[in-house]
Order: sequence, then C-alpha cells, then structure tokens
Amino acid sequence: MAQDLSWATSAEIARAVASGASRALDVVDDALARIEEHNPTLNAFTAITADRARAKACAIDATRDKAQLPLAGVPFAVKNLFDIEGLATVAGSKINRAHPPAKKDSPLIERLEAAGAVLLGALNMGEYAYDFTGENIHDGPSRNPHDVSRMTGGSSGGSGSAVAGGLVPLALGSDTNGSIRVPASLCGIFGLKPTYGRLTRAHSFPFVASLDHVGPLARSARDLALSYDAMQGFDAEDGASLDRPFEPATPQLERGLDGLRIAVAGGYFKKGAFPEALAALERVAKAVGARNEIDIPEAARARAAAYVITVTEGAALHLERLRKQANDFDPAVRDRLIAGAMVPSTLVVQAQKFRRWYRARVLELFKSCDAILAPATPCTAPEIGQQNFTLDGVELPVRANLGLYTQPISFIGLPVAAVPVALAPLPIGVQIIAAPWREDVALRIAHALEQMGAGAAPKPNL
Amino acid sequence: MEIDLPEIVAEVREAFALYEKALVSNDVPALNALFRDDPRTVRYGGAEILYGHAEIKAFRAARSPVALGRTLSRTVITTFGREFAVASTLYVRPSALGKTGRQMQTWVKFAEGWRVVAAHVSLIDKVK
Repeated sequence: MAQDLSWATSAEIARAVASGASRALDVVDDALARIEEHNPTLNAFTAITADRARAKACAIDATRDKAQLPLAGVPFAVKNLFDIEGLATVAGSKINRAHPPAKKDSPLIERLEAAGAVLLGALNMGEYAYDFTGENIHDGPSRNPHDVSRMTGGSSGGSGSAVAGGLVPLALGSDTNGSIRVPASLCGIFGLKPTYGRLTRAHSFPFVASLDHVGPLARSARDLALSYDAMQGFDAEDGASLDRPFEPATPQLERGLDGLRIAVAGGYFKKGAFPEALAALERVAKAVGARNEIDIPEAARARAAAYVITVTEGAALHLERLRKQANDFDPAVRDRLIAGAMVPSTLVVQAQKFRRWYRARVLELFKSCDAILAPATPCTAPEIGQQNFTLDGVELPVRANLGLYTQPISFIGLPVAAVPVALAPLPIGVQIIAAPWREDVALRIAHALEQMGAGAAPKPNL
Repeated sequence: MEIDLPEIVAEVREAFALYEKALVSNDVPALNALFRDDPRTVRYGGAEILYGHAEIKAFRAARSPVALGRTLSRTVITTFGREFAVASTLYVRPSALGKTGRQMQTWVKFAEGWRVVAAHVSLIDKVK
C-alpha cells in the first residue's frame, strides 16, 4: 500500500515522489478527492484545475531525475488574485469575472511548477484583498477547519482554509497589511510574508502597490522555506522587485537558535490583546528564551499611516470601477474605498514622510536583536459574521482590527514568519519579525519552535 | 516498601495536576516534558499506538486542540516507595458525554523529576 500522504508536508511528499515510493498522480488524485469531500464545507477553492494538475503530475512521474525537484509532486493552490492561464483573475470580486482569461501563469506559479509542484486551483479571498475576515459576499466565506462556524481570517482566507484543512500542503497568498499572517494565525498554520521586493508580484491583481507582498502558507516551517527558495529571483515585470542574490533559507533551517538574540515587542503589541494572544506569545518567548522586551516606537502611528496609504492607493486603483460599477462591489469594501478617494493628499504625503522616519527607527532596533516576537492577531478566530469585538475596553469592528499587530510591520516591509501555537480550543499565531532580507532568521526560529513542540499546525477533526 | 508516604503522594499529585493542566490547554512543550524522553516510553491512546518519546511528541504536535476540556473523577494515585507511582482516573469530555474515558499512567521519579514512562488511555460507552 502507498504511504498515506493526506496530512504530509510538502517535504515529505517530495521525498516520497522523488524516491519512487509514491506517484505524483496518486498524490494529486488523493488531494482532488479531499477537495471534493471537504470543499463544500470549507469553501476554500473557487476554481479547481484538475485536468491540468493530472497532466502535470503525469509529466513529473515521467521525469527521470525527480530528486532534482525540491517540490516533486507537491499539490498547491493560489489565492485567486494570481493569474492562472485560461482563467479570469477574479481577486475575490464580481467585477473581474468579466475579465478575459489570463494568457499565462503568474511567475510564482511557473517557478513552483519548475520545482515539481502541481497547481490544483484558485482559492477564495476577501474582495480585492481589502479584508481581514475571509468573508466574501459573492463566493461565501471561507471556513475555518478547526471550527467551521468561525472565520479563516483574510484576506487570504481560502489559502488558510485549504492548508489547515489538509486539502493541499502549500498555498500562495498576498499580504498588504496582514493578509497572510492573519489567516495563518486563525487557521493555525505557518505563513511567510517575505521582505518587500523579494518575491515578484507580476501577473497578480494588485491592491496597494507600495505595500503589497506575496508569500506561502504551509503546515511546517520547512515547507515555507522550500517554496520560498523556489520562488526567489528578480523579475523586471514587478517594479518593486529587487535584484538580490539568491539567498536560500532551507540550508539555514537546522542551525537552531545559537547566536540569535530574540526580543519581545512590548507596549503597543501587548495592548488590546486577548489573553490567548498573550499566552501564545509567552509560550514562544519561553521556548526561545526571549526575555528582553523592546519598544517599537510609534507603532500606532505606523498603523494609522498604513491605513492612509492603503485606502488612498486602493481608491486610486479602483476609482473607475467605483464610478461605473459601485453596486457590484461588496458594500463593506466599496464604502471604505469611496472614503479613500476623498482623503486629502497632504495626509498621504505625511504618511510617506513618517514611513521613512519610522523605518529608520525600527531598523536601529535590529542592531541589538536579530528577531522580534509579537502576536499575529489579537484573538483566535471570531464567529463568521461577527461584527465587533472589544479591544482594551473599546468596542471595535472585527474586519478592520484583526490586523492590529500585523500592519505596523508590513508597513515597512520587514520579513515575518507567522508560527501557530495550538492553544485549546483554537490555535493562534505569533509573528517572528526579522531585519530586511533575513527571512532565513525568521524561518530558522520558526523551525526551531516546531522542533521544540512549541509551534505546530494542529490537525482539525473534519 | 512504604506505600503512600504523604510527601511522595503530594509530589505525584502535583505532577499529575501539571499534566492535566497542560493537557486541557494543549501546552505541548509541557506535555512533552512530562513524558520521559526515552525510546522505551509507551503511550497507547484512544486511537494511537505510540512507541518512544519521538512518536508521542509527533502525536502531540499534530493533535487538534479543539474540545480537550474534561472532568476527572475517581482519581487514584498510589505511590510505592519514593520513586514509583501509578495514577488512574476516569474522565468525561463535554464533547463526548455518552463516553467514559479511562487513563492509567505509570510515573517514575528521575533526577529531572517525576515522569510518565507508560500510559494507556481509552474510551468506552458510559458506565451506568
């Protein structure tokens, strides 16, 4: 009997396929069967590319030197804002359904497939990525596999649901203000938001060009590293892509914590947190021996500035659609974008000016530490449809505030690994924040936490 | 052999309580620490057969944290000498009210403290 790979990591699948113990086609067929069984409940996939996936799997099985493929036979899926050849790139919207089918795949899909991975389809997301809940008025909400009455978090909600629910071991998401880290936290999986400019965003539907990042979600730190390494590389088609040397993270994973100075973010990052967020942070801090608390200066202002840039750039991107097709938007997204179209330009200029000041201050912190720990979300997954929660005694909307702790970090493009802590009854994530271009440090710590049992993607009772 | 020396019973009770707290809160590092890190440590679970600390650790890491809360009853802790004890308990989970859970653990005191060296957990239909 072939090995049961239904909850296997990408690394385990690639090993089994490369060694000939399993066939890529069987792995893909099993994943398609799981999608058929569980997607009606989880609502993670919005398109399934079964024929293409089987053809690709057969091609991998026919490849002579499968050991050269680090992701041989690994099924994956992408948030539906990445171009998939032959499909319209809907980006969670109704409006984009009228777009012509994409002529080619996003380069990240091409790079993962070149490493042996197999695309299974497109994943649900909050409309135009302006969302932290994973709810979608057109496609319905993606559901949290640990409790299907609860949110996945967003906007990469389908990515969180598909990976945590065991449909695929690997997914791509995007993160402008927290859209990889929030669903990773609420769904109890690992997520990587790389440094701004590291992974190409070409042939994906944008939201806020000056804040958009893309990255992987997975059930282990090693899978993040393997997929991230396969996706690195300059791309002239993305204006923000930096021509960095290839800096693989996978070879660094086993180095452990030796020599790493790890601090805990205090002040803003402990204010407003529910007890579970602090409990998870404490478990991680204890496991890595992080005792020093440091203050990230003006984090609240950083979040406010991130909002201003988000809403104005988002409004500029969607202005024509807002004028002509306002009623085709999700009202929760539309009204915020309309508000953004009326923000005075002086505020935007001030936000950008502050951003430079803040970035310089935060970079100074990395002279005395290599990584900073902070909660990923203020709480575990809220109920689907829940409008408000109470943070620090103030009733606030869930949709805008699940990203409380993620926004001040992506605002200056720092790399972050979100690590799940399997608290009972629901998991929650912790951010491992590193200096620019040090994804390897964040992933090393994430891997060490996994080895110690302090970080783990729990298997849901589906 | 002295059975149930009060100070020894108190020590095991404390370790047993730590384990219970770690279990219901899914504090995986604490759970891993309380089972002896040794290939001869064995845990038979409701649906698992786990030989060695590595297999037990892998099970803990992947376990769903949902619905781990439970209520104990008829807990018996008996110590034999100063370094050996048996802990037996029944439990009920709100998520499985029709079932009675049974847990037996063998505890041994090492230099590092009290550790479980063998455990068996099973669920049966509720005993009237």
